Amino acid sequence: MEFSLYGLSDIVLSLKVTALANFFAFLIVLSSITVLFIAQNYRLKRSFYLLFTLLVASLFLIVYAHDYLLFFIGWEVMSITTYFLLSFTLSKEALHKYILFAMASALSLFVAIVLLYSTQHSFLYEDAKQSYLAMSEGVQQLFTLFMLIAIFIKLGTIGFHYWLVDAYEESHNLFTPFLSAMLSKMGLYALILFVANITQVTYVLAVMGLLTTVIATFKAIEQESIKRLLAYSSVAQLGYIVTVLSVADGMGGALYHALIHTLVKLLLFINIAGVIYVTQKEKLSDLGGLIYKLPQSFVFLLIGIVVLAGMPPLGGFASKFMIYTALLDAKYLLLLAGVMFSSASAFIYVYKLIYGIYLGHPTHKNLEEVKEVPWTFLAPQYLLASLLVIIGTFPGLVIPYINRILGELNLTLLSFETIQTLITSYAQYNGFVVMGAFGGIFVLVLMMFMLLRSKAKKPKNRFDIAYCAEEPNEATHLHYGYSMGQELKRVGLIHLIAKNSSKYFYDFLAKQMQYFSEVVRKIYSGNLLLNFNIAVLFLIILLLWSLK
Amino acid sequence: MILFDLLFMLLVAYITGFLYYGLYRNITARFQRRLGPPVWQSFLDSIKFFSKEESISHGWMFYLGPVIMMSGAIMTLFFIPLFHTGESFKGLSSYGNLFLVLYLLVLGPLGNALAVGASGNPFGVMGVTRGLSRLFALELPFYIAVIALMSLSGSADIVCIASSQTEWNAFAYPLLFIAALFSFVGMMGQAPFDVVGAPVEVYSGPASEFSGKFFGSTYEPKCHLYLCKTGSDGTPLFRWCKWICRTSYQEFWVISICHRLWCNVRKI
Repeated sequence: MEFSLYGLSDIVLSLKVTALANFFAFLIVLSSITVLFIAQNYRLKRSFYLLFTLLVASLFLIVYAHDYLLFFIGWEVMSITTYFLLSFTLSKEALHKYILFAMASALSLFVAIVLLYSTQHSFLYEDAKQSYLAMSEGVQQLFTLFMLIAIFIKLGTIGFHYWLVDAYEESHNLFTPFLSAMLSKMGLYALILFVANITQVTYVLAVMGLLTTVIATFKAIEQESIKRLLAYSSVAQLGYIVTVLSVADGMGGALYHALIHTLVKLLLFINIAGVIYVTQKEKLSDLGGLIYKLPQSFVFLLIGIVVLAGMPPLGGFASKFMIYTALLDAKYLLLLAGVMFSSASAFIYVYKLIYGIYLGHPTHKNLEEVKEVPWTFLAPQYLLASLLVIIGTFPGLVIPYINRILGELNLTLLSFETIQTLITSYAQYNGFVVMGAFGGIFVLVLMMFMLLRSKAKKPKNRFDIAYCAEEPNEATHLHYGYSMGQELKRVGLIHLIAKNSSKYFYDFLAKQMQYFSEVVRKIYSGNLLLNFNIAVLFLIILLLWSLK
Repeated sequence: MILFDLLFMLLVAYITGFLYYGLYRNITARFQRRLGPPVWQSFLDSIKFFSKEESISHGWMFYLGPVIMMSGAIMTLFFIPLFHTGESFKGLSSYGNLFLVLYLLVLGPLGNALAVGASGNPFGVMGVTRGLSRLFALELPFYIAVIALMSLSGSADIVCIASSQTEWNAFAYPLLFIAALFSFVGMMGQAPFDVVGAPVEVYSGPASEFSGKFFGSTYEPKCHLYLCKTGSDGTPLFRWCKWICRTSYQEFWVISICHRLWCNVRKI
């Protein structure tokens, strides 16, 4: 598309279908369909659907754009429509936070794009590398800084996640899956473009990613609200991707994890939306014991947490494996140890999630009367869970698609033999055998259990438990396990993480801004004479400066 | 063929695992100036647990939890080669790697945690919380040691790591070995790290609500896991095959007895 007719002879805009764009477009389609599936359960204003469609359109514009100007337009439309979509449910404070951060992100992206344009007069992705190389070193650093700020805000890496957690927690249950699965992936898309097309920023990404995973994991452990916990977990999962993108061969692992994370976060947030829909409760302390009321939902959440924790028979392990071997290959050993450490710590919050909602004891009387969630919630979960199981069984299934993307970006391809095996330079594993072995052993052990004679009685009621020779009753507080992880605050590092928050920094920034604006208000008080005097003074200074 | 191999592996693991445990109980008893049970007592215990009736069952997740736990333990066993030379007793190790084994080790505890949660016993959940907190504290040094080994030998395949050493890795990299050993004692639930089982409190941690075969299945994976963890740490860290005869089981006897002894010294 050329604009020479309108007097803008330099500007060339283009849309292009690439494998990378198709990959993200597939994720957009998948998440919007699943999200709209559960929309039938809510009474929404018509404007919601209108804005949602606009948002999806802007996402398509972002992924299919082939130059930074269209990309920026898509980015702006996405930020603003998200603002209106969030404004249905968000409190004023959270909404202000969101819009401030979104605008900061958009503006710094704008500055970066202007810097890029200023050297070679081209917005196209192909020319980006040359434009970058043509800059002086200082400008290069400035460009990288602005670009990374824009991306980090959208991704919500630690320090920039201040808006994200509140927005996730308070957004509409229908919109949260989309927010987590898709909108953060746009930051990732920008980061992939930046890393693949322009320059590698090794250490910044490595340190940022590791800090994000570790801090967000421990922040997630201490949360009590379900959606807030999952929001922090989302941040932590994106941290893995940022970490692995710091490595030269990490793109495959990053894309794989992006796919798995999209699927699993859709699954988890839809599951949570169903639970909130039937119980009207959002806190782990208000739930509990729902396993026999919502058995299908329980199984889906179980699949979700197994994937989130990266345990073997399901798809989560495949992407974790890719990330670990990529880091191992680059000899980032301590970084790898840190990432694995935060992955092991994630077991606590995933267990807290499943225990707090489904296991243990119900905390309220009305929890004993809920029924299974409507089928509109279950249908997308069936789809997503079966996808995750299939990817776990055939981990090589997506490798050819990822290879196509890597080929386009001129990166080394991943080796691929059969769809059952996942091969990296350090090791390989056969997902089919792992799944088959687990299934076979599980069935055999189950048969052995069933053959053994058993007269196990069903307890008369749920209070029939071993309780220090006492008999608990309704008033006994039996479901306190939902607050697990609180005792970890006694550990020095975790105490440090729990105590500190980026809130203090942003409060400080706001306070400084207030002082500054008070000073400005004194000058710009609306007093005409004062303003006139200042203007004259300014004019004299300007004149003197230009005469020199 | 591979089915026979797996079956034999299970048999060997079953016998040796229980004998280790019997030996461990025996030696502990001697340190405490008791006579201790006979070495084969663990077999008898296991048979007893599995033939007894359970007093209570708390629904289907409570029933399936121990099944997952046992499958996890058996599966971990299959993915660790008992020997790195020769053809037999390799199990499924050519289909997996060390990362897989590290994560499979957590599958059993997950089943346990789910069953405990489903039982609704708060004491059990207390134990699970302690277990999970202990887990990540202990995994960090273990991960560092294992990652360093993987990087040094250039592969994450257990057989490759074991056969790439020229002298015992334990002596070549003593600091790594010590780090791994410390977390190792903890993962086994031995003396300074045994708060999960709550030996000094009224109820014994996660197993509070289990009886009969459910308890038996918490007991049996324990024995399997003893073996697995010796395997997952021992095979890469030691090159035992060159030292002691190649085909007999003596080699992992010796090492594991040393290991058990080490644990017991810690306990006192």
